[in-house]
Amino acid sequence: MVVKVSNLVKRYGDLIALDHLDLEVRDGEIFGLLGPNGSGKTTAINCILSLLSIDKGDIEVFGEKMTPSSYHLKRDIGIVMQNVAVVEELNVLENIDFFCGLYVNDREERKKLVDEAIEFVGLTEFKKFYPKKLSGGLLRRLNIACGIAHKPKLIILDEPTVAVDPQSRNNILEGIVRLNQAGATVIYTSHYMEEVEQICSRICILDKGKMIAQGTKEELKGMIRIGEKITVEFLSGRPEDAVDWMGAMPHVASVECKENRLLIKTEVGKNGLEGILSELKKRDIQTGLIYCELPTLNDVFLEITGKELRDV
Amino acid sequence: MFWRIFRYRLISNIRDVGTLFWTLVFPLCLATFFGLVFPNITSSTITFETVNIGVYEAVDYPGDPYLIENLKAAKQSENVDLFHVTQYESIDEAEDALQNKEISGYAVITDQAVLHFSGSGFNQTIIKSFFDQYTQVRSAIVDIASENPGAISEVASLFEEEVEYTKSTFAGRDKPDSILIYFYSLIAMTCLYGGFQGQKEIMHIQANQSSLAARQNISPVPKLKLFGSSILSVTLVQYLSILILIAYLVFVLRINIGDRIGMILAAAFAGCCLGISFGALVGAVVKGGEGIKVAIIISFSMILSLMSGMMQASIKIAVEKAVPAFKYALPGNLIANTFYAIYYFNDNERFYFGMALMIGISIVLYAILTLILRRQRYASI
Repeated sequence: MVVKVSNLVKRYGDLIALDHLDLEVRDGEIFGLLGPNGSGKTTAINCILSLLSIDKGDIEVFGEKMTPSSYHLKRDIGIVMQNVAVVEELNVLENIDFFCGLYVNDREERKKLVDEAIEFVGLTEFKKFYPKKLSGGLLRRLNIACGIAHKPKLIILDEPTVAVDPQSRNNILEGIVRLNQAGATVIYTSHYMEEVEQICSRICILDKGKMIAQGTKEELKGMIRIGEKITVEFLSGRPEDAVDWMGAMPHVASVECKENRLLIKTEVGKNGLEGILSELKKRDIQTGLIYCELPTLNDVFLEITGKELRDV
Repeated sequence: MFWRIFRYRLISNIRDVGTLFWTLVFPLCLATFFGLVFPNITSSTITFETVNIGVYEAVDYPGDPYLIENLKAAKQSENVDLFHVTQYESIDEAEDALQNKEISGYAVITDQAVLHFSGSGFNQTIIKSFFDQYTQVRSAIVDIASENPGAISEVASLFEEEVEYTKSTFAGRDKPDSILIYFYSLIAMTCLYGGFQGQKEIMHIQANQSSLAARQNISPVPKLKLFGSSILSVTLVQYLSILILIAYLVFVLRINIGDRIGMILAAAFAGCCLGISFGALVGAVVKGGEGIKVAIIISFSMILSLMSGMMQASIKIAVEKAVPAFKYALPGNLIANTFYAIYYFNDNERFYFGMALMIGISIVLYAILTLILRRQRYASI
C-alpha cells in the first residue's frame, strides 16, 4: 500500500472539512479523488503531505507514518499543485533545476533528469522562457515538470487541468498515463468526471468531506440502479403524452420530458432501446435524433447525493 | 544543497525588478533629488569674491594715514583679500566707476569717511560693516591716547592682536553639517526597505502563504535550511544595494560622509540585517495578503524615516528631545545615529553602542522568526 488514510478528521473551526475519511492507494495505480469544489480533495492531499494539522486519524505513506520531518519519505513524493507554483524570476530550465535540486544533489544526474522532464512535458523549445511569457497550457506543463523531474515513486496531481484548453488537457492526461506506465503511483484529484473516468484505475468520490463511494469505474457504476440513458427526439406528437405509457414499459426506471425530447433511464443490465423503438413505431410517432448512453460517474454521484457533480 | 538554493534565490532576487526598485532605484532617485536640492551641501565654509572698493582722499583734510593701509590688509581668509582698493583722483572718477559697476562703493575720506553706494547688497554690507568697526576702534584708541597717552602702546598692541573672548569649539572629527542628516536618514531608509526582501522570503517559505512555499515544504529540505539560504541571499542583495547607494553618494554626488570606510560598511551591514529581519517578522506575524504586509512595511519605513529626519532634520531633533529613548528604540534613528557617530565623534563608544543594538535587535528578531518557522504544520492553507 502506497498511501493509507484511516479515520481522518480535519476541521476548520466549526466546518468539518474531512469527516472520518478512509483511503487506500495501491502500488502502481492511478487513484482518482473525484468531488465537487469544496468537497475536501485538496485538504485530503495537504493532510497526506503533512502540510496541514489533523484533528484525528492516521496517515501512512510507503508503509510509514507520515510526519512533517519524514524527509526520507518526501524524497519519493512529487506534487503538482492546483495553483501554478513556480519562481517567476527563473526561466523554465532554471525552475525545473531548482525544484529537482531540492531532491537530487548529484549535478550530472540532475541535469539528465531535468532534460528528461523538459522533453516529457514538451517544453524543449521554451527552455529559456520565463513563466510570464508562457501560455496557460505551457505554464501548467512547467508546473508538472517541476513536480515530477526527480522521478518520484508517488506523484500527486491536484487538479492539474484547471483552466487548460482541451488540447493541452489531453497532453497532460496522456503524460500522466505515461508516468504511471513508467512505474509511478499517481493520485489524481479533479472535479472533471470525464478525466477521472478516462485515466483512473480506482476512484474515490468525495462530498462534503465524506467518502461516498470507492472502487473501480465498473464497481462504482454497479452501485446504482440505472443501466442506459436513452434520449428520443419527437418530430410528431407531444412527448408529454408519452411519459405515462413509456414509464409503464418493463425495465424503464424513469422518464423525463425536456422540450421536444424524452429522457428515459432503464434498469441496470437491461437493454430497453429495442422495446422503446418498437413501441414508438407501433404508435406511429415520428422521431428525429435517438441515442443511448451508458451511466457516468455523474449518475453515480447524482444517485448517491441527489445532486449532479456539475451543479455543486 | 544549501548553496544551490542560495544561488537560485540570489538570481531570482537580482532579477526581481519590483523589489529592486524599492531597495535600489528609489533611494538612488531620492539621493539625486537631495543632491539637486542642496547644491554645495558639504561645503562648511562660504567663500566670497574680493570686494572692489574705491577711495577718494581729500587733500585738504588731514586724513587717516592708516585707513587705506587697513583696507588693503583686510583678509577674508588666509590667502584671499577682503577688498581690492582703487584710489581715485576725484569724486567724479569714483562716481563713474560706481555707475559702471567697476566698484561696489567708494569712500570719500575727509576728517571722517563717507560711504557712497549705488544700491544695497552683500558687498555693500561688508564695506559698511568694515568701516563701522574701524571707526569704533579708531575712536577708542584716540580717546585713550588723549586721556592716558602712556597706555597707547599697550592699547595698540591689544588691537593688533585679535582677541576673542568667546570661541565656539567642536570636539568632533568633522564640522557639524545638518544637511548630512538627510543622507544618513536616506541610508537608514534603504536599510529599512530591506524589509521588502525579508517579507518576500518568508512568503517563499511559509506553506500557508504561497503555493511556491507549499511546494518547497513538501520537499525533503528542512525549513530552517530554506530560511537560512534565502535570508543569506537577500542580505547580500540588500547590502549590495546599500553599497551602491553609498558609492553613488560619495563618487557621483560628492557627499563627504567621512573617511572611516570600514566602520561605515559595518554600520550599513548591521542596518541591512535590522531591516530584513524586521520585514521577515512582519511577513511571518501579520495575517493577511502580501499587499497588506507591503503596505505595513512601506508605512513603517516612511514613518521611521520621517522621525529620523529624512524629510525635515528638525523632526529628528524634536522626536529625540521629546522621547530620548527613541534615539535607540526607533530603527531609523538608530541607524542614522550610528552613522553620525562615525562621522562626528572621535571616540567609538557611540558607534559600538549603535552596532551592538542593531545586531542585538536583529538577533532577537531572527530568534523569534526561528521559533515561528519551526512550526511545520498549518491549521489552514
